[in-house]
Amino acid sequence: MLKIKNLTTGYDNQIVLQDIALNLSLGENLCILGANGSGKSTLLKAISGILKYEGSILLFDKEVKNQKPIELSQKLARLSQTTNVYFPHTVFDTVMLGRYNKLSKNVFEKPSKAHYEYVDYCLNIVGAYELRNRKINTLSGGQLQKVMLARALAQEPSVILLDEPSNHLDLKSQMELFNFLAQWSADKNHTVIAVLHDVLQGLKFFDRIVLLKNGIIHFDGDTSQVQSTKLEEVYDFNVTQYLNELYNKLNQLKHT
Amino acid sequence: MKKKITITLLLVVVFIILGIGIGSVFISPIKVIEIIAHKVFGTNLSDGISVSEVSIVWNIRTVRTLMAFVVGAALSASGSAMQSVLQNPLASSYTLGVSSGASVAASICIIGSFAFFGILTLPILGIIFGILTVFGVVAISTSFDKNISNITIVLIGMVMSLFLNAIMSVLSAIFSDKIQRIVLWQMGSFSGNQPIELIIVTVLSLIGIFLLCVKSRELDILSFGEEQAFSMGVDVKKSKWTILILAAALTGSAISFVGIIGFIDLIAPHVTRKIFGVGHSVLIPMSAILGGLFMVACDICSRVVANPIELPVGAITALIGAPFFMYVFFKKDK
Repeated sequence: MLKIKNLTTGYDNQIVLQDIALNLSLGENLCILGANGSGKSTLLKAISGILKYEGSILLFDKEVKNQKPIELSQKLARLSQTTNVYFPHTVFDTVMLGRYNKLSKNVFEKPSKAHYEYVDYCLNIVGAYELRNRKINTLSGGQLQKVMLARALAQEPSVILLDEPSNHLDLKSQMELFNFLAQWSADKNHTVIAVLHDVLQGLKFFDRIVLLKNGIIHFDGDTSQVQSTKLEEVYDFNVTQYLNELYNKLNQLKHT
Repeated sequence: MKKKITITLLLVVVFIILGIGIGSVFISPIKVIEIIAHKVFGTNLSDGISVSEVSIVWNIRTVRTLMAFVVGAALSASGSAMQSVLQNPLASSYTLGVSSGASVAASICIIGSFAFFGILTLPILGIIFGILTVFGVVAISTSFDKNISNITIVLIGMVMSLFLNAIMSVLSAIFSDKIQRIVLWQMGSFSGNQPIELIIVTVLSLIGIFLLCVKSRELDILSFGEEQAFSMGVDVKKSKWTILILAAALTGSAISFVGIIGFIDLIAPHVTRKIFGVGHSVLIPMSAILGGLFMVACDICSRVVANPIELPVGAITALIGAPFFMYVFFKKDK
């Protein structure tokens, strides 16, 4: 489904990623981990077609950079870290925008009933149906992220890209989001590709891990094969020791 | 929603009739309606109406009031599109310096008495200079700040306006015999427009507003920011520039015969969003209608406030608009 070969990309004159190769089949869920500046978000941007690149990124056997945004949007949806709300659209209208790539070209024609139903369906499965008439500027961070997820699903993509999707979410919302996505990809044989900072969430919710270091793939394999030394090399400090210290604190909490 | 639209349209009719009636000579709304009906449908006039009243209504004030409406509509539709496409509630043709660009074009025309395209010279040059200015401002802003934040774009727009105004000052100093006409143009006024000018501006504005309506879906999506718009399938670069060019052209042509009129393109879209929501399929046409309404009201004010002296309508909109700008700039989110 996704075949990356000799990928080199970056910003202006600065090369961020060098000679990346990666193959991913449909149904696999990939988590990209690495220190700040290692090129995680850049890789995601290249895959989503926002960034120019050299080399090749084949998505369903078609080169990403040669595809029009509308074509890409039918296969890929992207959920960003935050959404700046400049104008207070309603939740329903916001999710309907995800149907852009499916609506008829005639803007004066109202979307058909099927589109309305699909939007309601998307709001339903992410658990945001009751928000449908609210204005998005009145939502909490967690609610807004749900709405954005519904909008991504409204594109009917087979791949969802996530860039640090849980940064602004409380723990329960994080868990719900990742559980939902794991279920979504398992049910439909779809793929989730996420950039995360939280190593543990990566290990818990994803089948496959890519560790990036200075723009190069340092490790690529099943989650079960990740060695703690690899993590230490990538993050340049004793990750396991630090996480263990955190867990000791948690375990010391009184249970009564 | 339908109710709100009906009320707005009724208000438009009322204000246009008032606008035609109010002035140095007051003509009652009933007489105004009779005269217009007489001219348009050939109905008979009642005895109390003098020839001069007919002439004032038909030859002077109808053109003037409709001109105010059309210009207000074009500016506001343009403003609401600019705000969305730049995700910036302070963006408008006026704050981006497009109006100043068009006024440089107008000054050059006035100075050189140019008329390459006959009566269309002013609108065509206004459109070209308007588009060039918006290119300049957005290009400079992007080179400093990739995200084009509120402050950058407002500052660059201001710098651009000041720069273009300086060019105007230089031009007026060198060609001091034309200074009065240039100054008058800069102040903005609806008095003394020809019917043919009204027709030209109306046709251009209708085309521009219609094309913006066609872009309403993309405007909705672009209002979420460029990266999100891209991943939803919008060809961001193409849409953004098409919309900016349309908006600048709309402003450039609208002000070409009437002079600089600022802030209406900032206020009307805000008010429209509050009343009709932010979806562009409604926002664009309704902010055009509300903008037209505001402009007619401001034009009435310009004639009434210091009667018998007539104030420049650009001054009225700026007197209301500048504090409003401060309010939008400094108000906290929500």
